[in-house]
Amino acid sequence: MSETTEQPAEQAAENPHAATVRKLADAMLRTALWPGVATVLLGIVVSAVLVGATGAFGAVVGGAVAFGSSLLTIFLMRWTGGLHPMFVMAVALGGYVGKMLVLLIVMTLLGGVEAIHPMALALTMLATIMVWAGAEVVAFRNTKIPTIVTGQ
Amino acid sequence: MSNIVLAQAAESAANINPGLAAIGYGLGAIGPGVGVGLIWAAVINGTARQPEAQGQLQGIAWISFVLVEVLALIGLVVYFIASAA
Repeated sequence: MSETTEQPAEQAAENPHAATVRKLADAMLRTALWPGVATVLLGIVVSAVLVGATGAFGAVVGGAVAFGSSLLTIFLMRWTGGLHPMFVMAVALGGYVGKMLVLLIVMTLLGGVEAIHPMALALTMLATIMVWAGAEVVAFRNTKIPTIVTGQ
Repeated sequence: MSNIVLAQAAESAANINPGLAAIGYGLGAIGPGVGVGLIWAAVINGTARQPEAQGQLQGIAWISFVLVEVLALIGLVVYFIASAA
């Protein structure tokens, strides 16, 4: 009997690639978190100066929506690290569709709120998303990923 | 007379603007959807050919997914701006 068959079922089922994906997800979160926070704060300050309280509130809401959207991707990445790519595709597409639906409903509802300045919300959200994505690309470039992971 | 006509035309254009924005958002979401599908189809193909490279392929796929998704989010923001105007 080989060593593989003597291992417990849960240890044998552990995918060695999961650690690689989770390492990348952690690096992306670590790199993107503070630039994202700085962008939201900058948006709040600029909106408060230019528009006032409604602008600052809009920037807070826009930053929160952008953060939620970006953090969901990191969460999906960590969650599906050890799954088969076919399941990961289903989760990624489901996450994309779900996120777009929820965001469409949220943005449509926010459009009618008087206390929110729409342009402050939109520009802060856009800036946060762009900065977050750029920081994630930087993290991807700086993270060493082994080309071949044996063991499965 | 022409001023009245122009004012009515401007008003009706403002009324259909949210509808056009929603259509534009829908069109803008198609491209990223196709992109996400192609990304993960390539990962499934690559993993089937070389299972040892699954970790690297998934990492590349997730960062591509993020970049493609940004396009859809930009479309969503543009929809919000156009529908709120």
